[in-house]
Amino acid sequence: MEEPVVAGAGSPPANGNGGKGKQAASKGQEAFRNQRRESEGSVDCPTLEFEYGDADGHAAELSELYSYTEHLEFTTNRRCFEEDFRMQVQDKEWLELEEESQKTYVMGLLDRLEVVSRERRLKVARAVLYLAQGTFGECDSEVDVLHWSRYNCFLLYQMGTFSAFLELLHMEIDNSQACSSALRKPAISIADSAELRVLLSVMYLIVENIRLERETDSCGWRTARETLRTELSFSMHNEEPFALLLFSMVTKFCSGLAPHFPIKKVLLLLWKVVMFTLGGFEHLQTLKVQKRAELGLPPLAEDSIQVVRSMRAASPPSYTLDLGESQLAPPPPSKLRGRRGSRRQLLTKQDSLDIYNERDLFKAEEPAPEEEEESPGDGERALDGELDLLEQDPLVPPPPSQTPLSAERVAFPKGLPWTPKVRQKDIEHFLEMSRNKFIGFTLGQDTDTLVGLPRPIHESVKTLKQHKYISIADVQIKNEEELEKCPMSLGEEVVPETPCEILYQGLLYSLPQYMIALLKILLAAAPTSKAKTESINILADVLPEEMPVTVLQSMKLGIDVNRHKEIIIKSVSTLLLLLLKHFRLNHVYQFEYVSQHLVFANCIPLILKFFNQNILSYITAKNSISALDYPCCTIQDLPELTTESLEAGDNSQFCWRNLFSCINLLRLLNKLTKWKHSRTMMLVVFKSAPILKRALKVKQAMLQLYVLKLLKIQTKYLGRQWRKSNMKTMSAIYQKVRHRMNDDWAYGNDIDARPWDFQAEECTLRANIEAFNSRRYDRTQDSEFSPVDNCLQSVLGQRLDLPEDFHYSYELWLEREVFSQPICWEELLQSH
Amino acid sequence: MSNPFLKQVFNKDKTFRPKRKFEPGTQRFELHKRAQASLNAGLDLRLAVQLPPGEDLHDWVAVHVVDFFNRINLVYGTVSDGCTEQTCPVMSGGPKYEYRWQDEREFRKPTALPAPKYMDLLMDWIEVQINNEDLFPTNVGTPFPKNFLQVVKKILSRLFRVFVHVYIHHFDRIAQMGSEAHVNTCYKHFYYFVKEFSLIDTKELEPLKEMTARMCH
Repeated sequence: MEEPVVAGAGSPPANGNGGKGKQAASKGQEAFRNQRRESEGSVDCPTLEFEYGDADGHAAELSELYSYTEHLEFTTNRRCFEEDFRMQVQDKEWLELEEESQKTYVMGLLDRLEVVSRERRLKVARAVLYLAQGTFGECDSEVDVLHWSRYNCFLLYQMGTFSAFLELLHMEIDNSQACSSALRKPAISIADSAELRVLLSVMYLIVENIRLERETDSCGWRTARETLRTELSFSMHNEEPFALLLFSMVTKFCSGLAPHFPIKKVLLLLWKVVMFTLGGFEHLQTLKVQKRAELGLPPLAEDSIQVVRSMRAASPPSYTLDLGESQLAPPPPSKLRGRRGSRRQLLTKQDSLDIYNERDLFKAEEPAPEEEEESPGDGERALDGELDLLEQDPLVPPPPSQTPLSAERVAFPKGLPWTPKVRQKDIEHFLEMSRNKFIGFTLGQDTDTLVGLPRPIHESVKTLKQHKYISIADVQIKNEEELEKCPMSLGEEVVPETPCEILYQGLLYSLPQYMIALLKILLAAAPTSKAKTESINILADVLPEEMPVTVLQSMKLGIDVNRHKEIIIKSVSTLLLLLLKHFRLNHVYQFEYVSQHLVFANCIPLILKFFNQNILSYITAKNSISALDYPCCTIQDLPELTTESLEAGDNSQFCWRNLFSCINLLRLLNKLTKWKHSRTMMLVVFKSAPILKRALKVKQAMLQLYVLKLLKIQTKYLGRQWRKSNMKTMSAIYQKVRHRMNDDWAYGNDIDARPWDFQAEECTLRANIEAFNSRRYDRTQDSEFSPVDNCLQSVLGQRLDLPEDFHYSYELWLEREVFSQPICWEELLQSH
Repeated sequence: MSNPFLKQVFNKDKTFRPKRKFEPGTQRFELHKRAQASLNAGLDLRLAVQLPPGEDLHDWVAVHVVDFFNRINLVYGTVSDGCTEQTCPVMSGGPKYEYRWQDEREFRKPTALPAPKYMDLLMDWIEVQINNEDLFPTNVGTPFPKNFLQVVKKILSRLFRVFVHVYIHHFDRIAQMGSEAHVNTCYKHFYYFVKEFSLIDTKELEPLKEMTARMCH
């Protein structure tokens, strides 16, 4: 019908390799990937059947704990257990023992854990780990292993294993010998973290197995779950909450003082502990509903988790006009290579059908019979029937008579997925404008007086008010203002000691360091970061003692390293998202505090940098060797390593963890930028639009939704040209993202009207946060409202407890603390 | 029309070129004449465009011009990937009408251009006019310039050409995407508006006359 429209979309190198300039871990890995990419060969990524949740399946979550280099240790653990078990119990296997005898044996194990010799202690710890791993030596199937792992973990926990291991962990963290020997070594390997890895693994297995809820769980198990949750949430024996210990491990690792810490395991455990103690996404939704009810706010219009789940993916926007993106287009599928024209036809076809694909979202609710007839009208089918389509004469467009033009063909969606919302601020703004125009003066925040305004304005205000939405944060900000205004009359605020509140209090004083540490790790693990930029070595717990010698071994290590990084990204991204969501619900300024530190630590460009890669290939990356995955690897003998066995057994269309990480990072970016003008401008300044647009290639509704949201908030700054040539994206935004009344995101003629002052905006916010933090958490402030004692006699008469040896050093103290400190009397006067 | 520049522009035979001879209607260019779907919001657009009592005419016109510009920009955006230098080497409205571009910079003489190029120049030009504080003052109280309506006429005539091209050359695409009703409604709104205030020359409306008669009764 026309000249090739994809002419701009770049013809990749003929061999199909090297189209994307991403570095893989090793050459073998790169070759391996290319091979895969060629064999996949689809024009477009199919809709991904991905279900978002708190975490992947149970087995997958357990498997990600181990790197493939650790594989041999399964046997070591088993041997340690069997040696110990044989000495204690004769003639019987573990699984044959009565529960009582099992308990007795575990008690004995825990006793032996207290021996002085490090070596013997490690052996006992390994025996415990073997139990937690499911005593796989006595199992026949993967299901068995998982079953007994869970059973043993409950048993271990009930016998007090967790606290015993917690003590060992404390000891091991403070083990300065291990630290200094690791610091002296030129290359650190998994051997340096043997003890820590065993301890963290046992704790992870206990947390993860107990966290998992099953219908069939006995009453005792349910109680055990709640006890563990309480133990982890609240400080035990006057210690900090467990999550805080792990956070401090992360910062210690990042500061370079403890390079041997197995950081992946620490992060996984930290994520799971936070999720277990604070709750996952479903729980968050329940909490939100509950909190709204408590505050007397109307219930939510929809359950966002449900709405997102029922959304369908849209076809990616066309790239015909984006020359800049041409290098990133996937190589053409080999079987179509000889028929360029055909492929182009297919592409245009696909594009032109976008509206129908998007409309599919409503199909699920009400299958309309007439839609079945528009045979080429369904994007998925168009792909399935690839060959059918190709057999039609590809160069002639379907004659117009075949495309029914009348109105009945066009079935409009019967509704939008989200109810529109209006903020109080929007109503005020609207009224201010109208009053300015019609009566010449404004009335501030009064939204009820409509005197002097014409009828249409009355109607608009009515509609706006009907859709007004007050968020929990609005109420919290208002309360905070009042508490700030009258600290005396309102008295002390009662803050419920929820797990979230306790975690925040614990994190508060070193929060910037924690956030920086997490982001540093994220940066080091991002596939786009080069070896040079890695200030920290996150591979200490994946590198073997001896470097691989054969090609296969290095291929395996390459996969292992990539997988390791992916798992780290998954845990950090989810952890950050969970923290932000929980803090936001608990108190909006807690959320603002965390997010501001993330922004200051350059989280926004970091995430954009992460997405500035071929996201489609990141999401379909296959960095796993299923034969080596737990629990499979404990049951079957490892087949000989070949290229085939590395690839065998995994035919999923995408990598769950990578898609999960991508969605979480996008949600994180949304959380940071929403309603923050200066941060939205950062998205514009860092040229995020083409990066984000490329991510729309991934046909997964949830991911697309969060990309579209990010595009929507900056649309008005992208200019008319962008809007004109991105109508597909604009339509998708219109259909999928919540509408905000009076928001002219699609036109944006008021760009000049809003000055952009990053500093000022962040400073105001910061002042509010600081006021909140000091009002709530600064204990020394208590004295501020008590009368000042300025009588010399009574001040000097106060008893102060001084250390016993104070009289030895008081002269030095006087010199340092009193005489050498200049007293600025003026300052004293000014600040009060 | 004292302004020589405007005089030149409104001398339409220069940029608006009805051809005397042309092959009568191929199927393709007739498609738009079947356009009829509309969004019915229980609203009479003909009444909606009338100047409300007490409203300033210039204000009313200015708001509409900006709104139409934005909407028509999006309408063209929906078909723009099917409107290339290859499909539309010359900006036209069917075989009978051809449009040439002329401005004060690169194209001082009316020049035949490929449709996408023409559209780019057209939209950019309108954007410049709209963003010109002297022409479209944003502050309440600042008066509109004397030649305001003349400039508006030119803007609207040019915007109308976008409709002409989209309807005559890309209506299949509009129908296929299911956006016919939206485009028609936008057109009707536009048409009633320019008629209400006589802002476009009848001759310029010629290319869509038949369709208009059917759609806007």
